Amino acid sequence: MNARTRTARPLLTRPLLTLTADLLAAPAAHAQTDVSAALFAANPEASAPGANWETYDLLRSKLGIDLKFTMLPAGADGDNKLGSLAAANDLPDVFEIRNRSLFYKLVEQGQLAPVSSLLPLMPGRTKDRYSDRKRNALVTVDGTMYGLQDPVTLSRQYGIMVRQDWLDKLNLKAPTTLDEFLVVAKALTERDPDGNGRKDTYGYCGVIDFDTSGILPGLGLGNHFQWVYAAYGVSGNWNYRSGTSFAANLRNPAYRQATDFIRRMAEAKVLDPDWATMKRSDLRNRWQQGKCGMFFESVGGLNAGFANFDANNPKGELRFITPPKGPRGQKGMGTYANAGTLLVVSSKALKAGKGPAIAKFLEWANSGEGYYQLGFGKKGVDYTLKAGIPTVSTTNVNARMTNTQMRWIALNGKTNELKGRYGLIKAKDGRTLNAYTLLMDAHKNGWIDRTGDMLVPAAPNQADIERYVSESIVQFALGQRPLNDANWTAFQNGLKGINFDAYEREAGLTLKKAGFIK
Amino acid sequence: MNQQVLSPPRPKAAPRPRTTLLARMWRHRGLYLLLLPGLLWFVVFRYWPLWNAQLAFKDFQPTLGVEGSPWVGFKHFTAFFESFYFSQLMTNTLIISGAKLLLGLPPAILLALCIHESTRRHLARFTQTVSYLPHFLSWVIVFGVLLAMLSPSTGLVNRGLEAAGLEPISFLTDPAKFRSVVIFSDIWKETGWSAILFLAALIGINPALYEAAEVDGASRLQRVRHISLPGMLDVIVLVTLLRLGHILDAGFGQIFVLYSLPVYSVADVIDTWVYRQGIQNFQFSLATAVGLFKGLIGLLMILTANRVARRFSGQGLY
Repeated sequence: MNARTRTARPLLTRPLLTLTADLLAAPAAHAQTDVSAALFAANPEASAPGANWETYDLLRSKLGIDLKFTMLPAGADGDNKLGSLAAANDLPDVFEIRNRSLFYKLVEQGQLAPVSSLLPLMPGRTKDRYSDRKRNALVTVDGTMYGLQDPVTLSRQYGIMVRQDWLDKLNLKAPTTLDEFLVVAKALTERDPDGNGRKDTYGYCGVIDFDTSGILPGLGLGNHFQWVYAAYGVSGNWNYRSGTSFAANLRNPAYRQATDFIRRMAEAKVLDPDWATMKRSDLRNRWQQGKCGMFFESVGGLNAGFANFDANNPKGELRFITPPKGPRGQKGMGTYANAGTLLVVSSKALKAGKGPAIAKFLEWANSGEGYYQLGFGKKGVDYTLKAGIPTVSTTNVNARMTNTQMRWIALNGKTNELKGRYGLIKAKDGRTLNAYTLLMDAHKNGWIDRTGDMLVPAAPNQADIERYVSESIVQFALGQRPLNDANWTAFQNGLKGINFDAYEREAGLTLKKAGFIK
Repeated sequence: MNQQVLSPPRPKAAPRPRTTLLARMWRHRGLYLLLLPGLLWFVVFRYWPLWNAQLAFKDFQPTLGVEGSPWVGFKHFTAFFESFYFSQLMTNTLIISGAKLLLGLPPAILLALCIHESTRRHLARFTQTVSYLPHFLSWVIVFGVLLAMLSPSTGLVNRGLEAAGLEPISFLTDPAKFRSVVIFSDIWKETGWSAILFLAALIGINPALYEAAEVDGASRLQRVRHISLPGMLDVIVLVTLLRLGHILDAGFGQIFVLYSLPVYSVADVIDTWVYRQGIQNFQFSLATAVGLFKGLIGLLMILTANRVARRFSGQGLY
């Protein structure tokens, strides 16, 4: 052994020994599992959390999880993004799916992992959210559970809002029947309720909107007109009533009558004439500007837009009306699904052994520290906890919204949570609206549970079916196609051309098999 | 024979040293280097993806990859051709695309001529810049502008009509009016941008021709007719041929933003259908099949139109 070798030995051995000692001393502290998560933006108008997000540090230090969160854009863009990631076989480890067709497609392609092995690893969350057999059936394919279907936390928050100050001014009562609705809407259109000397208000403002989470819109004109169909007992796609043979609601003559009522509204010019082209944001601008006597809106939308409304209409007073009754006394605001966030785990993640880390993360988000952190942000800054009610801060709103972009995996829809999220809405002159009370009022609006619709598989020509039905109905409603016997029969006969019978038959079989119809 | 006697003997050309392709490329390496980024772009984004066009004949399964997915023959093409709205989609696409081509070119040519003929340079530059601007607006913004102009309730145009005692017109929901809105909004947005090529062609015309024509007493209109228009002909043919290659692209972004249920019968085009049926329902193979079909039709259109253009005007793409 020469001198050179003798001097080299300690130089090599010392770092090796140090490294070994480090690894032996604290193996768990350094072992981090990478988990990528993608959720639809809870607050699309706010940015995604930055790399210095407190939650990331908490997860690293407490759970040994190095989380990478990606915010999916709202609506169809988010579905398309997931579809592209799936096509590239590059799905996140755990992610949210809102489009049922995509869910079935990914199951069929083997891109989603069975999740039942994760349930024992998150006992609290499983007990709270994944122990309902009927709900779990929504994500079970051929006996295997491929998704974590949360119960709904916030649904049925929509309703018809009325300008109570305008009703008072015109000496009108809130409508309780469809006929009264038309009379009141006509007055709100023609009798200048805002007193500006111009005929620039509309009795009812709604849009064709199929994109509201928590409500199942179905074919036709979407959520904002479902209350009309409910008044005729035909809201939603399918006839669930026992004792009758299963069929699509549009087969029912009452469906034509409901469409005819909307046509009468359009003909009487009480509908905002842009209803068939406007987006939801345009509608919101209009009621906030004071153009709508009655309009379809959510409590969340009211919460967000009230300040602007108040600035434009200092004496403006808004309240929900009960859904108007139809000729046979039926009423309802629309349909909803008793199922909320759907989380799925990619097959790749489970194969890579990330299942336990994902379960640990979801369990953390279910209650205690994780629940508040993801659901409400930073304690003392984004919210305060008073008598168990997390009261959100009214200052620093943008930061709070960024900090709660992942809130849908935490929120549970319990009373304290809703009270915290929906507090008092204050007008400039000191008047207040209790958003929580409004929400509870909205819940009472006669919603029809159509959870089973989620199971109905998309037809191979789904786009053509949706177009044929919705286009025909809107043409009838606008009066572009006269709503007479000949045209209605032609519409019904045309359903054969798009193979609607097969779609309807498949829906019936699926709903029967899952126990939603007898 | 005499000619051979009379002709002076030709000096024998010195034999040129034979150069290989590589040697010639090396000699002009600067030019090849300039070519490289463009070539790479075509290879990566145009030629390499052609390999994936095989998806049109397969049922794409991401976990199996493009090569591993099972072959299904012409199933997706058949699904498209047999779809309920196929003939309507083709008709709408051809009408909208054809109208944009036929009605969109003349204003661009006219604008280029006006700018070129203008003697006030500042005004010409200002007009040119202003006419470009709409090109940079997204269709979402243009939709907002159109709604503000054409809405039956709040639109400026309809307020004007009402003030004149006329009934408001539902431009965006009336099938009889909608295509006009699509075509004219496209012309408004793109005319300035399309004029650039024609303006470049006009600038390339030898000024001596104009000067000579002026000396010979040609009027301005005569100069335009006999110098400017023939000088632009090459570019007009080129632009027309290139646009014919995209005849089945009616402008997805524009129609997707502007259309709504009441006007589907006149506005639903191949691309919007593919978006709803292929992308939103995650039928990527179907979307690829339709893309391939559109590409083939475009190629056929270019080949045919090029041949026709060469026969009648002597000009062509190649």
